[in-house]
Order: sequence, then structure tokens, then C-alpha cells
Amino acid sequence: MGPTLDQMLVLSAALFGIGMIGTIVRRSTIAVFMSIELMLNAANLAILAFGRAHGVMEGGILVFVVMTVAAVEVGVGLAILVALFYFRDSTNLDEIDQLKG
Amino acid sequence: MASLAFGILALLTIASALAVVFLPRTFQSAVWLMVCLITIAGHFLLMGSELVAVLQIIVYAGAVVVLFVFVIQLLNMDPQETPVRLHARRREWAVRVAVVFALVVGLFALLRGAPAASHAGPPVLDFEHIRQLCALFLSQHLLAFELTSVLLLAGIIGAVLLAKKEYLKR
Repeated sequence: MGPTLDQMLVLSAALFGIGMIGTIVRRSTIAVFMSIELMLNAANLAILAFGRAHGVMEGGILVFVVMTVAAVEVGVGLAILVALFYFRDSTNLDEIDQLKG
Repeated sequence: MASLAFGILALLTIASALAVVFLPRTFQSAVWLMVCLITIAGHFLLMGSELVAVLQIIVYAGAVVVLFVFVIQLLNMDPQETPVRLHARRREWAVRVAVVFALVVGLFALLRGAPAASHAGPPVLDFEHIRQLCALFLSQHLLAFELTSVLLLAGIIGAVLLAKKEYLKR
């Protein structure tokens, strides 16, 4: 038993939407990162729901890979954030608007 | 029964996701992100993927959230936050600790009551699913597995390089 595919997809879409709103409206870089994590998790939910609906095990494998990508992304992203703070003394996205080294 | 559990979990997921996005302090966002990720692990469990649920808690609710909190505190991202003076807000903290304690005790009581209810049905946990998943991952999808490890290595090297003082001074 458990939730149906439709229920999971509605939840996943809602979570993805909330994450997308977060990436657009927040000014703090780290809050944008967290919103991106929300979107990745919404994708994971959809992947696993589809895998279960089709009766294949590959869904779990794909979720595992996505999870690794997300962990690496957070590690490198936060390192970039620390370096950025070293140069600018700020992580406000409105103040970081040029790509000069 | 399962649909009730799904409803409660889904409500918690959406509410905590909204809290992550709309609470002003980044530290509060990080704590609610942890709640959200744990409820998503609950969804994975409901869908019958125990391995993915456990990995979700270890990797996301554990490592990733700790990394977020670490960077928030390191860069002092909530400048309006003054250091907490425990003795000045004693009553508030007593209430918080009491609520958490009650929740933990309640959860424990719930879990103690659970096996009696599940004796009627088939056993919930069976590790055959995990064994099959891992066998599939290490045979048919070995390339993806190896690429994952290469990606992790690249991530480690990149993070160390970016955080090095010599690189930053350049």
C-alpha cells in the first residue's frame, strides 16, 4: 500500500514550487541554497514514486545518484560561499552582481 | 491508515518547506530544512524504500544540514542575533525543553505500541529489497556507481582548493 502516484506527484510539484519561490525571492545566498535542496528533494520524491508505479528498482538507484550530486553541490557551493565572504564581506545576492575576479 | 499517515506527513513537509523559504533568519530556515528532509525520509519509507530513507536521514538531515548550520555560524549570517543569554530567558527555554522532552517521550510510547498493532499484518521490514537494490547497483549500473565516486572525489578536491588560504590570497 502507501500513497498513490497522483498524491506523490502533487506533493512533489508543491515542494518544487515552494523551492522555486525561495530561489527567486530570498536575498541570502544560503537560503537560496536551501531552496535548491528543496527542489532536488521534490525531484527525488517524483523519481521514487514513478519507479514504484512502474515496478522497477532503478528509481532507488537514480535517487542515490541525485543525492550524491546534491551533497557534492552543497560542499562545493558552501566553499564558494566562504571564499566569496572572504572577498566581499557579504553574501547578499543583490550586492554580488558582477563576475570580476 | 496509510493514507492518514501520508496526509499528516505531507502536511508537515509542505509546512516546513514554507518555513524554510519564508522565515527571515537563515538559522531558523536550516532547522526547518532538517524537519522537512526527515519528513521526506518518511515519504520514502511509506513508498517502501527503506535504504533510500535511511540514506536521506544520514546524508541530508545529518551531513548537509550540519554543513549549512556550520557555514551560517562561521559567516555570522544573522547579525541581528545577539548571543543567547540563557539565564535571562530561563522560562522560555524551560518551555522549549519540556516540549521537546514530551515529544520524544510521546514518540517512544508510540513506537513501543507499534509492534502490537503490526503483528496482524505481514512483517514490515524485509531486507530482500535492499539486497536486490544493491545487487542491481553493483552489476548493471556499475558505471553510475563509479562515476558517483569520481564526482565525490572532484567535489572534495574542489572544496579544499576553494577554501585554501593561498588560493584566496591570489
